[in-house]
Amino acid sequence: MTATTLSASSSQIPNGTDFADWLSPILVKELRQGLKSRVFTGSFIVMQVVMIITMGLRLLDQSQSGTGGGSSGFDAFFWAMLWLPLLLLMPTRGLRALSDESRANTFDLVQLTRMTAFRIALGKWLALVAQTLLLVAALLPYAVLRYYFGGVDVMSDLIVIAYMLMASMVLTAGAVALSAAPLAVRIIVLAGGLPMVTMGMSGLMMMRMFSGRSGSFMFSSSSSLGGPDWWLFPCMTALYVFMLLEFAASMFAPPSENHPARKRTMALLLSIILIPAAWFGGLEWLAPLMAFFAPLVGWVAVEALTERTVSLPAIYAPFARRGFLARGLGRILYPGWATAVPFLILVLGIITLAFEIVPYRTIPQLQDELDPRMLWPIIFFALISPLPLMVFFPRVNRRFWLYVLIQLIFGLLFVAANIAADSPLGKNPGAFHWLAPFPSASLLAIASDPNDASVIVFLSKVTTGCGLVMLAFMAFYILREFRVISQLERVAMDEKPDVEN
Amino acid sequence: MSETEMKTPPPLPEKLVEVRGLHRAFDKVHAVQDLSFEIHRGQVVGFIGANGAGKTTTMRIMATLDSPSSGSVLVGGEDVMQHPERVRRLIGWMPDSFGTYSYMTVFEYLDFFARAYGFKAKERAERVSEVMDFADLTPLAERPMNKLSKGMGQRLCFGRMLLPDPEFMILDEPAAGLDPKARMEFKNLVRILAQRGKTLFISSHILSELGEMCDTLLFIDAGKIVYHGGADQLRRGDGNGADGNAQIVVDVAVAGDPASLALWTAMNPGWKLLEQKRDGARLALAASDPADLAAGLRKMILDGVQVIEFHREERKLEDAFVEMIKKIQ
Repeated sequence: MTATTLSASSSQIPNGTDFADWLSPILVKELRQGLKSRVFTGSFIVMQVVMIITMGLRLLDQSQSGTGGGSSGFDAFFWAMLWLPLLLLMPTRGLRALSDESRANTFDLVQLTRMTAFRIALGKWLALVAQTLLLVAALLPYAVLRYYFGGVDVMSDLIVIAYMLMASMVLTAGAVALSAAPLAVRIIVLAGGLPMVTMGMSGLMMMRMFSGRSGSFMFSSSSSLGGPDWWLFPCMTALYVFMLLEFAASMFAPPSENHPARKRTMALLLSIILIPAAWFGGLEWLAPLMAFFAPLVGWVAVEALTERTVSLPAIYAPFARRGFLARGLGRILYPGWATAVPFLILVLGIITLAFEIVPYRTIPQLQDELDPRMLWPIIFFALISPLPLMVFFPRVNRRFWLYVLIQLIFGLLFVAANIAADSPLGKNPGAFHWLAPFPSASLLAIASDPNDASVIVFLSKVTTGCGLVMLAFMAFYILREFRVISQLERVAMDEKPDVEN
Repeated sequence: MSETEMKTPPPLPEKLVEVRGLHRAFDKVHAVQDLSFEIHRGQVVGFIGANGAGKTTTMRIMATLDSPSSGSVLVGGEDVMQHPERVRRLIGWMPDSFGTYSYMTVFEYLDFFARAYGFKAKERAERVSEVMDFADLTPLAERPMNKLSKGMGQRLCFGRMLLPDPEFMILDEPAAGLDPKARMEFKNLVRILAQRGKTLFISSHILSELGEMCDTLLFIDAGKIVYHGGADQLRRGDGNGADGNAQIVVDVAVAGDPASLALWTAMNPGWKLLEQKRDGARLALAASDPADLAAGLRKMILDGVQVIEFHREERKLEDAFVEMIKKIQ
């Protein structure tokens, strides 16, 4: 065995700068592997062969009939060839992006390098997207060829492909995030959520393809490239990709990277964006933005409410050393359920403010009987309602699942009340009254529209009162956690600062 | 002078690793309990224990890959939980088994990790080349990772660990499954690194191997440290209540009733019947003083025991370990 040091570069090793130096190491590695993988090469070859055969048949058909129309069969084939790799194949590969590393026992080694968890997740996603782009680019000549057969608007096709690509990016990011999640979460999401999302996105694409304009907000003026939705969709794609990758990174990052603070900051920013959106665009802008933001902000909120206070002074140092205001900001951004409560109050406060800007009564589906302002406190109390029970189970490690379980029990209470209200003996809306102390169940009852104004008014008022009592009870525990945080801040201030910075 | 060269890191403390009251529980199983020890710069420390003793758990915590339930680990003065990113700049980690990447050659594997460690362009090429030469991987550069033998794979993993030139290397069962030649090569590599002043923490359950390589041995049993000291010290039994480091082993022929030999052994303190054979037996006399050894042997001959052969035998580390565990239990 030789043990020489600093020998001359071997013949296999390139000298000097290479292009890959500019790229993420994970991306380089994944592309080296991915482009050689059977899934990629197989789908690339199959797509090309199928497209060549279809084109040949189309050409034969045209030469025999002498017309350029009647290409719906070929069109369907063309779009299917795009749909499969973009919305199914590549996102499915993403489902194994991080779990495969973990299973192969290689993940630890990657984590010990200088790369942060987010960079690892981003690299994985970029590699999958790069492969998707290669597949799409290889299909573009056929899209142009279709133009010569007639009856095809190339620009419109390219826009649809761009939308499909963006949808693929989001789905792939979601799949990468899922690949970092525990097996149970993956199964639940795959069994329920992902097929729905894929079908929904595919449906939108189909509507756009075959009916020109779907009439929906997203596609109303997409072909003109000038409407407000043209920039909204790429922005939402970037936002969702970032957040989904952040969710992925937070699942395997060391606690000292403090991902909760990043996620909460993003959720706060999203809420703040709603204010100018409401101011300048009214409900027309506010409603779709809210629809886009709600799942992300909601997920961040639930995650925050199920976190534990982390006893690592290093997390508190960046805030603690920057004075009173930064420490105050830390009280909503530090990891832990106690800081999640003021964080949630702030987020819902900003959203309420945004909705105050637009005239409330123009919001459809809200009953005249209920002042919509009453809904926000109920949503808040519904979100925090498992906390008073969770404090009695401090040793439960899987706090997220405990939270979900308690919310499910509240959901069952609503189901029971619903059954009681619709008994064979007659309608009994009063059966909903006893849901008032359980904000989640109460919210479901209000949302289910029990056709009785008095029930809604009763529930909204009593639930708010019960929620305030619950908050007062929780305040004791929150203050206790805040005292721990203050101690950790003091320890953090005594520590030596990071030598690198 | 480049910017990186100008940023001189603070000098490392003499006590490179400090483990204090380390505890790790998995539900109701306490894998590691109240572990405390120190490793000084330049030491080669062997970490020994049976399967399930808590070796890998301890090492993973030291490598920032797991969190302790309580206690702390400082590497280079930095807490592994508080500042894992700082600790990671100091450590190299070689797991007991590492997975392979499909569609990737040995060179591509090392090149990926060199990129991940922040090496750029020429610097990366030089570093990868250096490591490949050191770990004798150059002839394997173009070989797919999943076509490597166990020994080659271990060398590759070792090479990967060396890429960032870590000060402190944690090696979990690095010689497990290697053939004798590969073991010799591995020992050679460890010796070279030790000569360069690197600090190594090596786990194994092959005690004799570690005894040769390491300055200090740490024995762990059921999550607790049961011995911390040198190999010679352990053989001598200093500080742990064990007997001396050498014994005379005597092969004797039995002319008459084998039970008489057993009786003789029982009547002569210090002697132990090691093995009863068909036409003889092996006896041992443990004594640290050479005069006692000579006297014991002389008495045996005078008593008429037919001695065929005798030799002085050093106590094996394995025996010392087993004896120590028995005493503790």
